[in-house]
Amino acid sequence: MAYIAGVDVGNNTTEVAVAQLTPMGEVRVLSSSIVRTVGMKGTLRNTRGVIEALDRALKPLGIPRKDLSLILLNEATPVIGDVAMETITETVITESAMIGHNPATPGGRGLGVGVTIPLDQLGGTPLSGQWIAIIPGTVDFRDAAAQLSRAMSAGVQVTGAVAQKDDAVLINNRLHRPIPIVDEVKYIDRVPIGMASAVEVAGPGRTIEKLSNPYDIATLFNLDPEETKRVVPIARALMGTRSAVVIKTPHGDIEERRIPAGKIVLIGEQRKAEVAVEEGADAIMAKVATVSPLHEIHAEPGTNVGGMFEQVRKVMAELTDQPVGAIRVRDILAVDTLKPQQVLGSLAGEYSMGNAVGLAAMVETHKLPMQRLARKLEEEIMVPACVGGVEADMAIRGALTTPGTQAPLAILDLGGGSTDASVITEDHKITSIHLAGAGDMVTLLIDTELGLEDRDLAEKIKCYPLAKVETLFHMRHEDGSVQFFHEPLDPRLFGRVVVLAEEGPIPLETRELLAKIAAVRQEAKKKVFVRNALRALERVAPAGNIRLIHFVVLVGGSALDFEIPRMISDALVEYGVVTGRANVRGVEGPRNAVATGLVLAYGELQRG
Amino acid sequence: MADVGPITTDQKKPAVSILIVQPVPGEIIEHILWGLEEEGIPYEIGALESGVTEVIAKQAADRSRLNVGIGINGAEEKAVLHHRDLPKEKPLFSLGLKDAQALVRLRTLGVNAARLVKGEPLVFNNEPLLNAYAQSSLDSPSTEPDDLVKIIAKVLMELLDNK
Repeated sequence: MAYIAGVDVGNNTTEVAVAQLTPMGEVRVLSSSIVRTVGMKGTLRNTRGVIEALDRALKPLGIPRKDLSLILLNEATPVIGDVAMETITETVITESAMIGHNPATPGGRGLGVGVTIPLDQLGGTPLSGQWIAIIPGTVDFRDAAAQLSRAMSAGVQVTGAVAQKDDAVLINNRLHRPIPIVDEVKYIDRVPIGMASAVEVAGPGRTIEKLSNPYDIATLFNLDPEETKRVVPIARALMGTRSAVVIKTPHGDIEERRIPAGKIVLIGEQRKAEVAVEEGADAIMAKVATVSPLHEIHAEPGTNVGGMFEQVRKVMAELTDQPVGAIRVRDILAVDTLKPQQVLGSLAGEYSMGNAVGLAAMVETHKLPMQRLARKLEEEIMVPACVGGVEADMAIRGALTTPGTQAPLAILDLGGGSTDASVITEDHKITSIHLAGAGDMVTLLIDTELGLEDRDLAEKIKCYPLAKVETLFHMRHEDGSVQFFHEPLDPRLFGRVVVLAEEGPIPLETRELLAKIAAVRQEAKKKVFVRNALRALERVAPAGNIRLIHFVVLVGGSALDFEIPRMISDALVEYGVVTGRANVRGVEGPRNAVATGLVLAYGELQRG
Repeated sequence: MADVGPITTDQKKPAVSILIVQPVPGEIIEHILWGLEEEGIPYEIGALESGVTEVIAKQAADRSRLNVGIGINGAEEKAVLHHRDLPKEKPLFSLGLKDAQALVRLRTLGVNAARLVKGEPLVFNNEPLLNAYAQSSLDSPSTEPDDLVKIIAKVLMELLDNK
C-alpha cells in the first residue's frame, strides 16, 4: 500500500490531496488541505507553502512525510492578469459657474434669483434689484442673520444666500422671511461678486427642479440657444441634488472634456486592428472579436493601460526567465464604468461622474518551471516529486468527481487574475482557454465607481454583504432582515452602511445608499464574470455552441462568492445547461479539483 | 434671548431632553442647542438641583420621547450625551466643559444628539478617521466604544498639554 499526494500550486492558494494507492492502481483520497501560496506561483518560494499544506493534510492521518511515495505537482499554465483604469471624460469649470452639492442641512426652500453681493455690502445696496448674499465663514450666524434681517426690513430684496459654514438652518430660523440658503461651500472666496446667480433648495426628501433643467436655467438667465447648449453639463451635474447654486459669469464656461487615453493595437493571427480607448469598452471588445484569436496586444506608452501592459509583461518575464520581448499579452477585457471625479474649478468640492474604461490584461507563456520546484521539494523533504499533469486536464478530472456530472462537461475556473475554461467532450478530448478579467477586475470596478481609492476596502465590499446600522442595537441586512444585538454597536457604525466582513462590520464613509452600493457591486460582478463565462464557454464549446455542453461546473475562489454562481447560472439557464458549483469527490465543494485530478490520473496510469 | 430656543418642560412633545445642574454658562447651553437646531430636531430643557452628569443624562434620555438626552453639570464641568437603550454607566459621549475647543465640540454634541434621533452617521471631530478605525479590531461584541473614545480623548489631551 502506497501513499501519494497531489499538489496544486495556484496564484492564491496551494491545495493538497493525499490518497492511498493499492497495487491494483485503485485510488482512495484520504484527506486534503489548503494554504495560502507562498511567493509568486512557479517560483522556488512555493516550496514552503507546499510543505505546510502536505503537513496539514498528513497530520489527521498520522502519516509521516517520509511515508509518502510520490508527490505530483500540477503543470501550471503560467497566466498572470492585471487591471488598470483609464479615465476618458472629466468636467472642467473655467471660472466659477456652479455649485451643486448636498450639504446635509441647507436652509429655507425654493428658488432665489439675484446678483451676488458680499454680506457686509448689503447695507449700501439700492432698493431696486434682487440680491444673493455671500456669507463668509468668519461671520457668526447670529450676525449674518441680523445683517440680512436689517437689509430686508430696509426694503432690500435678498432672495437667497450662500454660506461657507454649516449654519444655513440657524441663519434661516432667525430671519423674518425664509430664503433658500446653501451652506458648506468650502471655497466661498472664489464665488464671483456682482454676477447673476440662482440659489435653489428643495424640501426634505426632494431634489431640485429648476437648476437641473437646462431650459429653466435658460429662462432664469435669458440664455440664447447656443448658451443653453453649454449649460447642459451644469444641469446634468445638478440632477438629484437637494440644493444648488448657479452663477452666470461672462466668460465662465463648463465643459465635459474627453481625455485622450491612447490607442490599443490588436494583432490577431490573420488581422490587425487599432482602437482608441476613449471609444469605450463596447468598441474595444467588438474589435477584439473581429481579430480573434489574438496573438498580441500593444498599448500606447505613457498611458495607464500601456504601463499596466508593461508591468504584467515584466513580472512574467522575471518569473519564467524569458526576455520581456518574448512575453505577449494574449487577451483583454474592457468594461465601461463611471468614476466620481472632483470637478476642476469647483467651489464646494463637487463631484461629477466621469466616464472611464477598465481594462484587464492576461499574459501567457509556455511552461512555468515546475520541474525546478519538484527538484527543490525532493531535496527538502526527501520524497520523490514530479510534474503529474497539465492543470486544465487535471481540473476536469477532479471536477468530474462531482456527483451528477458526466462528459461533455465544462469547468469555469473563476480566479483572481483570469477566468479559465476547459471542456471535455464525450470522446475525452480536452480544450482549454484563459481569459483576462476576474476577481481583481471586479475589485477595481467597485473601487473606481464608489470613489473609494482603497483596494482593500473594495475587496471587502466585493466579498461580503452589506447592512445598514439603524439604531445602536440593530442593523438591517441587504435582504431586509433585521439583526438585534445585546451589546450596543460602536457609535462609529451608527447610521452608516457597513460591510459585514469576517473581522466585524466595517463602516463606509460614503453617503451613498446601501442599494446603490449593492448595485455597483453586482453590476461589476456581472460585467466581468457573466461576460467572461459566456466568452470562455463559446470559445471552448464544440462548434462554439454552448448548448452542446451539458454540464458546467464552477471551481476556483470566486466560485465561493455569495452571488456570482447564481449570476452565471441565470445567464446559462437559457442554453439548457446544468450549472452549479463543483463538489469535488462529493465533499470538497469547488476546491481541490486539480489536486484530486492529479492523484486520480496517476492511478489510471498505474492501471494502464 | 432669541438665541436660546423656547424653553419648555412639556414632556408630551417629541424632543431631545436636556437636564442642567447649574451653574452652567449660557454660552455652553447655546452651542449644544445650535447643533440641534441646525439639524432640525426639537429640544426641551429642564433643571435639577444636583446629580452626577451621566445619571442626569440617562434620566433625560429616559424621559425624552425621542429616547435621547443630554446632561450638563456645571459643578462637574461635564456634558454627557445618552440614549435610553444604553446602560447608565455607558453614555455615548462625555466631554469636559473646559476641554480644548469645548464650544465647537459642544455644538457637535448637539448635532450628534440630533443625528442619533434621525439615524444619520455621527460626527467625530477629534477622533481619527474611519479608515484607521476599520483596521482596528471590531470583532469582539464586547468592544467598549465609550472607553475607546475616552482613551483617544485622553491621549489627545495629553498631547495638547505637552505642547
